[in-house]
Amino acid sequence: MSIVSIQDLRKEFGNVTAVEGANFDIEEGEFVSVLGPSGSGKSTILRMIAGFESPTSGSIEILGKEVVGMAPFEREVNMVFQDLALFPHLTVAENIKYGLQQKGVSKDEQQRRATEMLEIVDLAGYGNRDIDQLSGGEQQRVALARALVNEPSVVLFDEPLASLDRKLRQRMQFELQQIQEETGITFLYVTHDQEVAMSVSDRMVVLNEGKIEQIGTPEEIYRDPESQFVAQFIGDLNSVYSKVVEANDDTVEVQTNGTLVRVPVMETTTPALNAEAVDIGVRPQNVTLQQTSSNGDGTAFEIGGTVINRMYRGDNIAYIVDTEDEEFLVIEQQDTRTEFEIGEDVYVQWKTDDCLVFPSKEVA
Amino acid sequence: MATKTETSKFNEYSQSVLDYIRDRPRLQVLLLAGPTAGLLVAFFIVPVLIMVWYAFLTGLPPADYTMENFSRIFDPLYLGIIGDTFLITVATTIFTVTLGYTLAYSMVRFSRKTTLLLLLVILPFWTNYIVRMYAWINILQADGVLNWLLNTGGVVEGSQRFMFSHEAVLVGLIYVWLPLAVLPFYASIKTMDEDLIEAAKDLGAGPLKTFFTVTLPMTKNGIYAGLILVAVPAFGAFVTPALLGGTGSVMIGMVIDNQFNQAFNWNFGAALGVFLTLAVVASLLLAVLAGVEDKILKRPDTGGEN
Amino acid sequence: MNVTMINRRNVLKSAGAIGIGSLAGCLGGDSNSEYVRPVEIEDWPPESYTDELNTWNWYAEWNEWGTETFAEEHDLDSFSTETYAAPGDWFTNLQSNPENHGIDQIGAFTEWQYRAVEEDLLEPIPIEMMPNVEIPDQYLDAHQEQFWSDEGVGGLYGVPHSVVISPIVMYNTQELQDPPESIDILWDEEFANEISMIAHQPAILCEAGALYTGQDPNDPDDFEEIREVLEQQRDLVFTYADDHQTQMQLLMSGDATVGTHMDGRAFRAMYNQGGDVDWFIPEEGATWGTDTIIIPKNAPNPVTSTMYLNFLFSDEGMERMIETSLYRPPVDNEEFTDGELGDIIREKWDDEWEKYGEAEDFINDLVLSEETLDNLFHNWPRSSDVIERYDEIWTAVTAG
Repeated sequence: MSIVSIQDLRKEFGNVTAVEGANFDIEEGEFVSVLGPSGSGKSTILRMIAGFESPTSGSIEILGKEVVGMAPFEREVNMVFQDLALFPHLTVAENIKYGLQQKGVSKDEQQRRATEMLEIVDLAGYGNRDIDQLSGGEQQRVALARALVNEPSVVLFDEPLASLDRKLRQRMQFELQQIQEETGITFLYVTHDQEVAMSVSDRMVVLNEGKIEQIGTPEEIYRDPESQFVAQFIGDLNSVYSKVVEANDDTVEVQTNGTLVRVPVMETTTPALNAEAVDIGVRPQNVTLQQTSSNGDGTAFEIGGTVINRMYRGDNIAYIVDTEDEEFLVIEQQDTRTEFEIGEDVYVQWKTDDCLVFPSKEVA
Repeated sequence: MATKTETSKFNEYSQSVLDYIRDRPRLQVLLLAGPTAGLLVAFFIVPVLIMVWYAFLTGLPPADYTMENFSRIFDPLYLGIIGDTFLITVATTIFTVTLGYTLAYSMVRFSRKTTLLLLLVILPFWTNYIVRMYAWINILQADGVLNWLLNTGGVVEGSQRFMFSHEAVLVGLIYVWLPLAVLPFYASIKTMDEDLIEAAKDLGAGPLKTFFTVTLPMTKNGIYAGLILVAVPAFGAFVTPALLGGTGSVMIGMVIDNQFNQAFNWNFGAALGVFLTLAVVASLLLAVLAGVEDKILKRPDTGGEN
Repeated sequence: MNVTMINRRNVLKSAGAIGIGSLAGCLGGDSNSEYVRPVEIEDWPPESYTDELNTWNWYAEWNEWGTETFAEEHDLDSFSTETYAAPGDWFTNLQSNPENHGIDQIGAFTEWQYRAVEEDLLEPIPIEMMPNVEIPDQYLDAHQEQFWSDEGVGGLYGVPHSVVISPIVMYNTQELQDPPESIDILWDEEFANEISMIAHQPAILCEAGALYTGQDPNDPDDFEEIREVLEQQRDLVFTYADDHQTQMQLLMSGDATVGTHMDGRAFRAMYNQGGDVDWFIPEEGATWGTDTIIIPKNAPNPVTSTMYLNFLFSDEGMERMIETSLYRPPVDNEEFTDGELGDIIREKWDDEWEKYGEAEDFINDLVLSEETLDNLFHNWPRSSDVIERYDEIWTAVTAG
């Protein structure tokens, strides 16, 4: 049985539809991220599971029990809030025990579990401190402990790491993952930060404008994005508009720069066969720059352009190349290639195997 | 040309003054805090000291020193009135704080036109105190608005006596001091992080528990401010009980007023004033020391060490 | 109608101009002349006066009319009138600013005047040389005794301008007709919870107790007895009214059937408001006192103030005092029954003054026969012991 099962969930605020037709399940012990840009409805889904918003239609089951209509305090879920919402008038231990008190757990048991939880989040001995005596990272851990101590079916995270600086965020990500493994509690993590989502999640749910675009493991989603939105949101993507010459089940032949190229197509993204044009996408890492043209074998794309910007990034160098069609972002590993100067004329090349084919966004 | 030179000279001069001040942090403190401190001394400390001085005199100065004025306070007559005053003050404060908090809470949580509501709350303050008391007389008196309403509505027959009673005094005091309580309540509820309420509910607390364990403690500073703003002036009230009260509604403020305006005994009036000031300050201190805060606000048990 | 108005104003103005013209030599740059005490005025009208006037008076309407008219007649540069909130306000003001209070004249109550005299804050006023101030002996004697300056320069600290009797018994005529004129009525159980006692001052309440127990309200022998009867009365009392207006309303509306008050307030209830009330002086007696006008030491314009005081005591001034406040001026009874004041009252009563009731009834109310006056106690001076005991009794009774 799934821990959380969401069916046909829909939420409207006035005449704005925040969430539309959301369906997904979360299995026991999973770390699932809901990823999307701001305004995509991800927080709304979370707040509906927690009980702070009620859905316009659809159902939310927790452990097979319908929870729509139940008050937040009646649900077996706990939330880690974006700004943590720790009680500033209580000590660290009092914060952690708060949920246990509401359940009527005995004082000794409260004490025991709070102490245990403080150890898990690496804050042993911090019980009597005031919240405002703690650093940002420590407060994150208290918030986590306050949720975990209740042993909920699922812990909901509403972008709690957003306010931390990059280094601390990475450390907390790592700790979060460890604690999840240690406790085996199911996590549902909402974020707009694809880096966080990719590094911590077992599965990701990508949302756009209230609709689920794709569900899958981070790897699946990065490798085989089902839509151009997902491909662009998870990692960078260069994309070229191309006229379709001929299309069949597994390839599409397109014309670029006067050359015909046959591109293999994944099942999931097969464009309508009668489409007149497609967008050919490619990750910046898969593009190389050449000083001379090496056109001809039909297994690669090549476009001429001029380097207009160059960013040194430590282990790699990013170039922006202006071509006839688009500006290209090209990332070259520093050790392997010759370096290029701004203003230099170059050829942008990539293999057909690295292409991601999507229905064209441009209206034909 | 001449003016220009003068201006630059003036600028030069003011610059040197500024430089002089900049290098002297103590002088800066004096310049910033000085006027406030001066005002406090002139309009608060000095008058209080004069009052204390009068309290120990037998008459208007020059006069002999005496403790007579203070020993007179311990006459059962005055102690009784102080006791009554205390009870009325407590009742007023409880009603005002409860009503005021409810009002402020609903303004913050449930209303949209809060600015208008706040304005309505403050509006009576722009009307003279005495006028407002006479307005209540108009409402409560035998042929007043309240009797008319009750009679028209068929609730009672014939005019009822609402005026000249403890209840009338209570209504008057609550009415007068309610705005003073609402403002700090409103400010503290408004600035409270609403996520804390959601957090409490998320952790399993029902609405009442959330209110008593989170909302109330989080707004306690506002509550204290409102409490003191109501209790202190209510304790010193003398116009309201004089106008709305009947037999047996004498408050200590009326006695003090009488000493100054009727009985020509400024010294006894001053002694009563000093005594009450000390009593109020002492009870506030005691309340803090006794940790009333934690008891009233149901702070959860801290339990053992961690 | 307009034409007459303008004419009258012109006449007033030119009269003022003539008056000033004769003084022209002394005015102008001389306005900051050295301080002339009222008792140092040598001739009447005074040879010179300053052209400002600042007055405080509880009789606001009367005083406003007075300063305005006086300022116009004497072409004053500036004048101000103020009322004050508590009866002792002016005293506090003079005491804390004995030299720079800026007040020329004050309408005062006798008890505060007494204190101010004790503190040496007042100027004696040369009433003998002031043509309009003619107060009959029965009203002046008590003041001469208490308030005649002993500096050897002559003069009276404070000139009484109205005579007030209290506590009188006031009753609602719808509820009660022709009651026996005794203070016993206030202890009559028939009126349980229908009695309202004016208690804005301790004295006025305790005086009723003193009269009920047959004691001298100015100097009772047995304070305990007064306290006892007042505490006993408390069970019958509906309320102790803290201000004049409330007490008037209570008796006019019938909320209270019977109660104590001051005679001037009874006149207001009957003649200004047409209330169904009447009043009597209890056969046991009552006290009488006066409201006075005083000139503080270091008044900025002492001579002008003296002249203004004289103006207020003119026939026109007294007439206005009666019209605006319905208090009794300190004049002989004949002035009311056969004199000019009586004529004015009768003439203006209905149309110009728009009063209720009959002018003749009011005139009868104003007349104080020798017999009545003999039965009254002058309410001042009182020892500080009496004041303190009265205050204690008041506190105990009203708090109980």
